[in-house]
Amino acid sequence: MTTKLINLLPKEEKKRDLRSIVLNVFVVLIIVLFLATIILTFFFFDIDNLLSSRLSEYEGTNMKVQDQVNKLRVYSEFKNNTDDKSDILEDLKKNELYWSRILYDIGKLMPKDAYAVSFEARGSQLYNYIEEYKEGEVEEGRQVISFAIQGQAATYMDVLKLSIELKKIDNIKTVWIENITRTVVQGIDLEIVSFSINTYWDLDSFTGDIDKKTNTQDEDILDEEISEI
Amino acid sequence: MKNLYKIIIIVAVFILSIFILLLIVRPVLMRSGSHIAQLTEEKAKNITLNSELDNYVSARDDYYLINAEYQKLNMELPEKSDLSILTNELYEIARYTNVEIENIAFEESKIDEEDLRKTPVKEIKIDMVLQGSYYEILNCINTMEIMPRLIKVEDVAVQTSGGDHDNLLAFIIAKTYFVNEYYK
Repeated sequence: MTTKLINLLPKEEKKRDLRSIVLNVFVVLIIVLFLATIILTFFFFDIDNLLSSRLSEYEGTNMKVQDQVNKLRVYSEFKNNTDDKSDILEDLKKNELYWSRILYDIGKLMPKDAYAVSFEARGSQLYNYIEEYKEGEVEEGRQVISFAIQGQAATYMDVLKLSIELKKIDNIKTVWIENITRTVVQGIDLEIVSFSINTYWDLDSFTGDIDKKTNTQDEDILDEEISEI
Repeated sequence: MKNLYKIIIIVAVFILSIFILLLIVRPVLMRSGSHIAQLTEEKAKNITLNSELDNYVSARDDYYLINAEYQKLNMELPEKSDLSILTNELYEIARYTNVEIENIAFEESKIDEEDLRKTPVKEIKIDMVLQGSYYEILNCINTMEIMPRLIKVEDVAVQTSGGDHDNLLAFIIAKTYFVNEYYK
């Protein structure tokens, strides 16, 4: 037979302590936050160490590369010096006159019955003209003498032949017969002519490149202005 | 546990956390930020240095070629006037071409002090009087024009010497150059 126990005492009401529960939650939260802070601290330390080691690696590499660059810079400076010297020489050689070639041409072009007594070449006048041209100080229509020949020929036809032939020399624009004088060679009583010829340069063939340079600069300025607009 | 203890724990842990954040995490973060900035800078520097290095390496690889070019240019345009070498070369040319040098004079061009730093080269004017036949003088002038040192023959005057057509006198004015050490 079973017996049933019946509790007749009044039920004890459990008081729920809300404050304690909130505090408990806060305690848990704050502990979690604390632990998170500790973990984050380690994490940040780790990242910082990594960054620091990467930085020192880069610094080390850069120092080595810089050292190499400093050593190799000498080669580059040497190359620049060579290029500068080459440019200077190129500038000096520009429009250089080769008088030996012109003298050879004159000898070749001289008619059979004519010969030169004197020859005078004046390259310095052309070089001065080019310098003045660069400075923009030349007047229009100016002529620059190339060379002058004085000589003797059997007849005036030989002088004319020579003047025509001289035009074939490179860069000669004008051949000017200064004078032809009848002369009698004493002793053998031979009649010949003495002559004097001046030649003048074709200046455009020397200043053509300089013109082009000026144009290019102008074009550059124009391009800059257009790009600015 | 009493609520008071809980409050004390909460406040204590909070303050500790704040201290950890302020005294440890913040400086580490700031240091990391500075490391990142430095690292970015070093990376950029590394790229620049490497490209610079590539250029220099190519210059080094071409060194022998450039050096040969430089030696050639140095012959054409020497660093100093080298008048003794020049005179010797001119006499050698005259001997080789069978021409007599009657007279030779050198004159260094004067450069104004204000132009001294702007002019890359100095000039030497050579004034020569030669004696020889037409072809000998021609040969001599030609050899001067093509000799290793740059010589620009500017003015030439040739005339017969005492009516002898095989014995001509040539008056030559030429210019040669050397590097102006004051040029910047």
